[in-house]
Amino acid sequence: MADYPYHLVQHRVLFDGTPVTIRPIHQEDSGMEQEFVRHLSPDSRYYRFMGTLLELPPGKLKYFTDIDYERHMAFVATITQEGKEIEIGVARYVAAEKSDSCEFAITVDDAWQGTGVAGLLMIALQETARQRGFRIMEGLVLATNRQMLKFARQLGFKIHHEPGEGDTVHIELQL
Amino acid sequence: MDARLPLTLDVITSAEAGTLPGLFLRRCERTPDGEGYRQHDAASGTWKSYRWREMSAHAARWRASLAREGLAPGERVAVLLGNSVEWVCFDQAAQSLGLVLVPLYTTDSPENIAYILGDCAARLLLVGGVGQWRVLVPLHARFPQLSRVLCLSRSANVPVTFGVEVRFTADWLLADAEPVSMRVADPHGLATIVYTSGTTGRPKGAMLSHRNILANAEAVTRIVPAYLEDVFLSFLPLSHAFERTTGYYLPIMAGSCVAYARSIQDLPEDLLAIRPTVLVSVPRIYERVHAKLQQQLADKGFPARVLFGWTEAIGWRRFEAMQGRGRKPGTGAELVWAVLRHLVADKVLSRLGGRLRLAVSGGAPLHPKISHCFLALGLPLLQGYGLTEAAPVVTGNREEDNVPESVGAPLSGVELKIGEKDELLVKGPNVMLGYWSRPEETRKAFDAQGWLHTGDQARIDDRGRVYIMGRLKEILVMSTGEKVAPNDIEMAITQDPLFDQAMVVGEGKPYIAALLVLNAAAWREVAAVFALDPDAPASLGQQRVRDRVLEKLHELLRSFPGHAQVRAVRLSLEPWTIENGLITPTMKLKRSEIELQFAAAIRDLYAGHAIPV
Repeated sequence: MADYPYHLVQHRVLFDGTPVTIRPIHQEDSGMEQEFVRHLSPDSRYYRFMGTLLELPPGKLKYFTDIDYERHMAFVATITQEGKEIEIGVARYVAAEKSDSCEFAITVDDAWQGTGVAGLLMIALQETARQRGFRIMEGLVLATNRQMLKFARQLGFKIHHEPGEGDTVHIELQL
Repeated sequence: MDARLPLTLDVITSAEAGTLPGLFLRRCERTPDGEGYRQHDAASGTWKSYRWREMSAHAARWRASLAREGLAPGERVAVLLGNSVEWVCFDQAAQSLGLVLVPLYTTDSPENIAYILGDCAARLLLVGGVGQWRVLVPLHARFPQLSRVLCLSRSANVPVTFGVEVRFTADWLLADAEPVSMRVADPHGLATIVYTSGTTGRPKGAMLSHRNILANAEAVTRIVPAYLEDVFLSFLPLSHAFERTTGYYLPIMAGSCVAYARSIQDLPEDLLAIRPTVLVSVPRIYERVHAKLQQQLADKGFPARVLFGWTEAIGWRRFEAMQGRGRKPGTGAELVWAVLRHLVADKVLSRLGGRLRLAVSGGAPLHPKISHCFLALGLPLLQGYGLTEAAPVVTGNREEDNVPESVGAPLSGVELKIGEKDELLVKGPNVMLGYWSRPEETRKAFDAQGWLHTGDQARIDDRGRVYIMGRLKEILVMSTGEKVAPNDIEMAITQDPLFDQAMVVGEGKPYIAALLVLNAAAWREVAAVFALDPDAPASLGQQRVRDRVLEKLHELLRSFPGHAQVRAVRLSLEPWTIENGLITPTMKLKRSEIELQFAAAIRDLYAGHAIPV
């Protein structure tokens, strides 16, 4: 079990003035992370009816929340609603096979897209990756996801179209 | 197929089988040394044969390996593979552990696949190559339940997968597995969720039980007998209910062999290599053989066309006579037929391998002109009708009772009724359990008396034969109040080799117009006739080209009423594909998508036109 990096907790403000906390994920965030995942589903009400909630199975949930903060890092963006901490976005990186590179992924709740939370998460993630000694941050994005590609360019990512794989593009950032 | 060879009937009934894995088990026990499957091995360039006893061993190995994943009965596992022996092994392994199998189309878009994986909350996915998984990685948030990906072919480029472990089957399959016993499933329990690629909106998962499928396969064997000696050539995707039931479970029931075609492109060669005795297909394949035939006749010249015409005419009379409709041709004609059969008919049928005793068509309407041609040449071509929600076959022509314009009479055990707006309603042991996680859609599909609403308009004649008149939602009502079935018009248009794809519009409009995708090669010929540059975009917009097209359409639609004639066209060379989201994996037009994308073009088709005569 790694020590929780308290020094990486930040308090910021979204474009609309909403206070948001950007902090590394904690083992005890399972409940909050699970709620976040459930909330992502557009048809979440149907899942309740069928009795199968859309959620992370126990193994995966543990993988997402019980991290070492070095080779596997994840930042969550949270707000407070009625006294409860709610997750509105998560960005993580995992060390890739090549030792100086890491792969990242980011997910933001639909309702909170365009509020600036993605930028805050990515900046925190990139900074940490740089400090941990990674030289490259990379990822796969759907070619049709123009929004994400525009965002990636703004952050300084270079975009490479994979030959023979029209559907995804590979993006790479020199840290 | 030589009718003198013995044909052995050895059908395992639905009752004997109990469940889908039970069916497979019984077959492997009953005819262990019989040939079950044939598959092309790329490395050696030969067709490899699999006996039932070998399949049993393979499936057991997959089962033992899958059991170690610790999945609970009822959990869903998905498969994204082309038709193959591996598909069968995975399906059997999953079924025998009480897992629910969710088949995916390999041609489907990543978004659609991600949607389905999330919707059914799949825990495990089997893919053919890492590339298929890579395109899903950016969407992984949509299917949080997935924890494991199995990949058939080894490769180096495995992306980091954020909580999903990727393993290659060569490493994952246990070499000396402790045999794991099959879990006994409830025959009425959920066996598989088959997503219908919706022509509108998101795909819906039809929940089918073991009994739904077994009852259906057995009922089909009663109208289309299958024997131990039969060889099926499988090329329609197993993710489609039609191939699943009639091209996979039915052959197991009958003990027939199934050979997996390498690809649609290799089909002509594979037909000659395998020489199937039964062909299960969608109309498109028969259309293509027919189109090729027409082209060759056109090239060969007048005498060849006359000869073919005779063959068709006499052949058709023989067919009608055998069906009890019309007089048998006289001895003279029979002699001519014997010669023509050798000279003409057999040559055409040899392209299909030359051993076909039966061809089945389903999944879409088959143009009578095509079925007439093959029937006249002596090939028993049987059209049927069904829908995924009915596991899927509802009606079918029989060899001895074949009216090509109809889709046949209902299978035994299937009840039919015509409801409001001429909608065909179905009841039977094959009707689905409902839509997965869609209580509202399920309620809409069934009425209060439990009849499944097919969404197709039909009529039933006094002999119980069904004639499909059109899709309920796809009837266009013009501003004149006149009704038009766009499917029929489109089907008539695409008979012509110039038109690859066609979509008819005219809802609430004074006349019918069409969006047409031209065949590139045929277009070059037409452009040459008009001394136009085929590659210049302006060429397609030339008035004389449009006039020529309208003339052609007038000819193709001559049997249609006046109000159904096409008055305006928009021509394009850009095909509507699965990738650009304009057609479904089963090649059906996504009308609302096409209308959306070409909204401006459609408006132009009606701009400033007075109502024409």
